[in-house]
Amino acid sequence: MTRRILLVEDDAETSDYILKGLRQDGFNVEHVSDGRDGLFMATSSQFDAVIMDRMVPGMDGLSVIKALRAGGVEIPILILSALSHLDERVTGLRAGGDDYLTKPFGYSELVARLENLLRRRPGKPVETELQCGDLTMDLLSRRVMRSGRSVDLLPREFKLLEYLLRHKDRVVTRTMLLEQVWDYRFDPHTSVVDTHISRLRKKIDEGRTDPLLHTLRGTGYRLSATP
Amino acid sequence: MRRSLTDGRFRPGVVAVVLLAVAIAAFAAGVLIIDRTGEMLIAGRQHAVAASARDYFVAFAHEEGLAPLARALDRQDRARGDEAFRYALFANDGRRIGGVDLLRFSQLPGPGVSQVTISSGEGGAPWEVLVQPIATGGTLVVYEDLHERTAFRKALGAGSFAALATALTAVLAASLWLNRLIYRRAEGIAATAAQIAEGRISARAPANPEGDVFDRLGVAINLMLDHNEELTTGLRTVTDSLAHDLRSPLTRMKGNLERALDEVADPAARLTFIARAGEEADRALATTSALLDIARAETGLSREMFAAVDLGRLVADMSELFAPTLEDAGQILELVVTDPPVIVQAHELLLRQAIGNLLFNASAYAGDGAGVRVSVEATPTLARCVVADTGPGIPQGDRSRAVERFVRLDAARTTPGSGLGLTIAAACAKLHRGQLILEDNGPGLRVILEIAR
Repeated sequence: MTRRILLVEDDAETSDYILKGLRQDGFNVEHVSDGRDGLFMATSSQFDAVIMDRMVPGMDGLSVIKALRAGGVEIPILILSALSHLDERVTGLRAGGDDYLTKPFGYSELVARLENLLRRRPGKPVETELQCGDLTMDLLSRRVMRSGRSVDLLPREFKLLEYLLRHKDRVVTRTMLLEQVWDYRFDPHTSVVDTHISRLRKKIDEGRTDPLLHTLRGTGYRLSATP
Repeated sequence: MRRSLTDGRFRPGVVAVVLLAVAIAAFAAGVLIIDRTGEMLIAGRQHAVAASARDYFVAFAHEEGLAPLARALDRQDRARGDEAFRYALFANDGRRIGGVDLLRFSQLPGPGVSQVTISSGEGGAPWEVLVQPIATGGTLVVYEDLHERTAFRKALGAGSFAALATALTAVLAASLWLNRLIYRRAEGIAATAAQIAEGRISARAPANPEGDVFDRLGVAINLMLDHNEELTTGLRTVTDSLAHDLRSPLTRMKGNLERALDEVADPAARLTFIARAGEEADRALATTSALLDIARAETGLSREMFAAVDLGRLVADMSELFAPTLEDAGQILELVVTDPPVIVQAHELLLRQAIGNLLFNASAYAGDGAGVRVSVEATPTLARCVVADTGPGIPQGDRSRAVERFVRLDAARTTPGSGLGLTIAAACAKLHRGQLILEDNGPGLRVILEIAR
């Protein structure tokens, strides 16, 4: 099934960059450069997600999002913005966006967040167990097992692993982890995440030939049974 | 400088004078109405009295004859000669046969009511005269002394005039004083505005919070000017910093890209140069967003994002995030959080970043084997997050410099960092109406992020 994405972006270079990448990755992308066209497209046609630039001509991105939400459109929306300060992110999410990505961004960061949004399906039954390969996490008893052996995790390591398991087989970036697990936006020292990952890795992968936690150089991490 | 009355400086005074003139006219009209109405009422009453006395005496003359009336009037005049009403009786031949001797018969006006001036020792006095010929012979005269009535009216006029003159003088003086006051005070504020317009943005209006309305106006204006100055300074600093400090990462980026484009470079080296250029771009971006956050925090624009935050929990979160980093740097972390929870109104994201910066600095500069103690303290008005390490510390002379933008003390030159960490923490403290304090931990450095509750 091809996933349909609506891109609302007026900067030609940025949109070319995003379009090329997403099409290569097998997405079906529609592109408009005007806010009003974006609102029209999003309400009149079926999309799986919207990538919305905050400052587009015709109608401001946040107004489009508010209009969509007011009209009961529940489609996941990723906001792109050149406004980077802390308050802007909150404003964007309050308007009804699902995630907020600051320009300039790497394509891998964009696609990781998009995949993350697309995974959210409404009406999913409540999960009580997460699994990746021979690693299982029981969310009720809060027990983690690898190959039948219990793994002792600190509370935050548990939360980190839970997030990775919920996004298994997908790329998770350092900033996504900081934002989601620690509620922290901290550009200069994203390396603090690495220290937590290395401790988690030690507990679940040490001494094994089939590691689950993979590092993607320059991008982030992926939890997967396949390398 | 010549000042005419139409000069704008006097306009409020002129307005006051015009209003005063209107008030005076109204007052004069009031006094006049009182005078005329009173006079009319009293005159009517007196005429009635004079008429009834006349009727009584005429009836007396008809019943008893002229001679008894003349004797009665003589007696009456002797007994009560100082009353307002006096009476005289003349015979047919014009001889006065009884009563008071004020006018000779020849001097009498015609029958009816008339006003005459009767001269006595000094000048004349006004009298009203009622002349009544009697059918059986003779003429009855009723005199009414108008002296008191006139005196009363004069006193009323004089009193009103004195009151008016006093009020006029007082109001004129008050309006002049007010005019002067308004101009003196307003000109102080105008002078401040002029200085601001000339670019001296630190100029302030005269103000005293305990003072009068102008002082309070000054206080309000100064608050506005403070805020404007903060905004302007913030903007200026960001512009300066951007111009100055983005140059180095951009220069390094350009250098790396040029080396990557070098025809003789081998592919592996090219990739390395490109990767380095990417790192420099990241550094420039981080610096940009940090600067914008600092500017917003310093100008107070972020205060609309304030919400209740459990400081102890936030500090515990951040300590937990940085615990492995500190551990990897060979440091021992100790977290002391007070009970009950310390709830503050704060910008949570910025506070997290500020405390994260303090912890990161400890991990980067406290050195191997140092202890890092993180604690939260609170008084009813203040909350403090204290990060104290037992590392080498910062010499006293360098401490205030350490908070400045982009200052990287010698010890920090070889480690990565934007040089904005403590500046962000200081801006965060300022946003929360507090301060960032750097102290000697004996040994080591103690950084206190103090915010108002």
